[in-house]
Amino acid sequence: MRRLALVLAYFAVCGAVADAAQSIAVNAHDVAFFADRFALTAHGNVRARMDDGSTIFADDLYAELRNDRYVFAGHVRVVRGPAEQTALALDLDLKNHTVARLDDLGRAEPARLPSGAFDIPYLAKYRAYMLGSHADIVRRASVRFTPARFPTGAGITAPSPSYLYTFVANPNFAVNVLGGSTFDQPYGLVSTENDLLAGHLLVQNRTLALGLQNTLVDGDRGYVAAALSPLLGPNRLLNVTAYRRLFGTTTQTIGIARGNGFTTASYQLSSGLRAGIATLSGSLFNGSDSATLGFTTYDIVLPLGVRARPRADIGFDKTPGSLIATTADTTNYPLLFRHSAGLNLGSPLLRLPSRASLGVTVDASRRWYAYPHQLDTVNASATLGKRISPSVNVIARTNFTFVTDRYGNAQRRFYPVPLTPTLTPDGIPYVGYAAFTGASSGRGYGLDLNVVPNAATASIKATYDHAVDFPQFAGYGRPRDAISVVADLRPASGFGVRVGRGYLFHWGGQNLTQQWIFQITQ
Amino acid sequence: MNRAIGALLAATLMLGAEPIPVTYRADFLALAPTTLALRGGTTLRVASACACAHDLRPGENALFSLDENDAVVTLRRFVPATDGSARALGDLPAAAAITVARAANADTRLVKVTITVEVPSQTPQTDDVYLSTDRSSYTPNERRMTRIDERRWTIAIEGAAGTTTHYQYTRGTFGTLERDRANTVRPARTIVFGTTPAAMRETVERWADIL
Repeated sequence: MRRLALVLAYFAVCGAVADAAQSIAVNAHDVAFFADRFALTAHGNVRARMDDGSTIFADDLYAELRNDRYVFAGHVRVVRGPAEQTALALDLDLKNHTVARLDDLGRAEPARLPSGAFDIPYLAKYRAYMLGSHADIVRRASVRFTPARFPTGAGITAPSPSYLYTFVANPNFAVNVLGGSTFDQPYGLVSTENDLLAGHLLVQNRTLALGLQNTLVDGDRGYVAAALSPLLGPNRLLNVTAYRRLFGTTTQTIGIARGNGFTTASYQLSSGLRAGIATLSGSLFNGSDSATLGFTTYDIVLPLGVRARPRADIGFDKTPGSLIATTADTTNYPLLFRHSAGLNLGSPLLRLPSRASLGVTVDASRRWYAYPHQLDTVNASATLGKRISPSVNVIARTNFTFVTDRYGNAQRRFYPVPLTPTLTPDGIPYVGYAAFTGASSGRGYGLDLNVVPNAATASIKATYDHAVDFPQFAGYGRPRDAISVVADLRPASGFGVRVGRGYLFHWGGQNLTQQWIFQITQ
Repeated sequence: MNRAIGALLAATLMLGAEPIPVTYRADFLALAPTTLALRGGTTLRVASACACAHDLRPGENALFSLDENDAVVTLRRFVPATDGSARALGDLPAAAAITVARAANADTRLVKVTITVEVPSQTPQTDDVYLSTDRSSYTPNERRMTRIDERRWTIAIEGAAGTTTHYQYTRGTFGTLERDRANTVRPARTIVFGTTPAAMRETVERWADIL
């Protein structure tokens, strides 16, 4: 900042902009913010007051907020205490520590200016994201309009008493630890370059609730997010998540959740090695512990372009004073070791005639426990994509899953034959469940139709899914048939709507279950 | 040289004894009693009898004319529908080296970029892939991409020419954000919107929730 002060000194007969200025309050007849450019314009009797005591008056202001650049034009007057300086235009590039000034000298020649000085776009005909007459800018962090108006595109504006927009280019601010919500509308309260405190309007269990989250970030090296919800009422939940890159490709992630009668904590240490990724993870849940040491290779390219990713882990589960296995076993296992191995194989994309392509993935794993127990899982899927036209394509999907839960000679102890028939939710006996002895299967078939009438503003996806699983009955497992249609529309820049309708057939004790999907995105 | 060309052009427009003022188009910045400033920082003297419009906004296309002393005598807003015959700035007298005016819609013209991304084979078959950008403060399910086949997804996004957008891929939540090959949080990707439509091909190395 000392360098900035030196650069500014040449202009600052009166110390125009002090190096300590971190926030700028802008008042004008019209102030507009353009979210896709992170630009702010102010027009008519502009007054920009710095928090170091300087004030700049002008006819117009154009600010590139993310670049920390401010261009004042027309009758510029800089005032600090008793000192005052005037200019025709002033370009403050605080990021690059340059200041350019034009005077009303009647000069007819180019001034010596820094590259790009006074190069500004004309945005008056461009629709703003937010309008107002007062904006508080926190440099390199956020802008708050008080009050704010939001143009809707239909000639009307939606008002808000105040609105904070964070323009920090750090994706870690998107971390959300307010779990279990079907609707979440954040509302920024306080923001700096490394800190964001936001209130959240939530829908949890079909009930409106308020939440609060504070997020601290350190570049892409780390973040900490803490959230509390609901703020009012019972069952309050505190969630904390932290991520930190320790060195090189070694990172750690910590999670803590404390709610009504329970506490959980988790930890993961991950390190990218020469051949793959090693992880050490552990968790606590109300006194029960578990830990796992795992290793996953990077993709290994096999002949014919097949990609393989083997993995393995070893760990334990500990539950003092209680049984880990079911009561059907005769032995207590307060500490139980386990290990597993798995392999993921992905075929190359096979180009087929008629602009179609096929991809196949197979994933298999086995887990061994320190008593006669094995869990085998095999999943195979194939996806066929076919382009009908530039705006229409079809995806055909199929997947097969087999899970075998083996207990050796004790199989029937863990999967006993029901003494009475198992009943479905609608009361009908499910006789076939008696055949379930630990081996389950799933077959799924799906068809997606994607229609993109305008790639930038509209896309529609219609999906049909058919599942044939064992065991499967109404309310248990996947619905046998499901249809959904989802449309993503962007009627205006910076505003999107997702509308959808879904139908489940013969599931949950009902012949037909209907679902709505509605979401507004920026 | 420029002055000579300007004089020649002016001469060709003479009708009898009455010269037709040659108008020039540039982007306005600011106006004071004796000085006109243009985008890029060029300043011109303003004649005392200038018929100057005072309602121009910085960055706006403007038309102006000069007298024999290269002082501005008229200044008004450029209207593309009626002022299409305005002179190119290369014809301007050497009195000023003006930053070339942009097209009238240069700052509002949207440029389309089509992105195609290939995801890892471990991606769950029924999951959708989304683009999360800094335009929405990285809302994880901001823009749903369209599936092409088992591993490729595509989307077209628009942005003003010359602007930059940062983005990442997700499967709809922050917990399913993409990671780099070594499973660390990766910096956001960047698109710079040029002047013509463009296409990009990218690869997701890994998802945060799937090792």
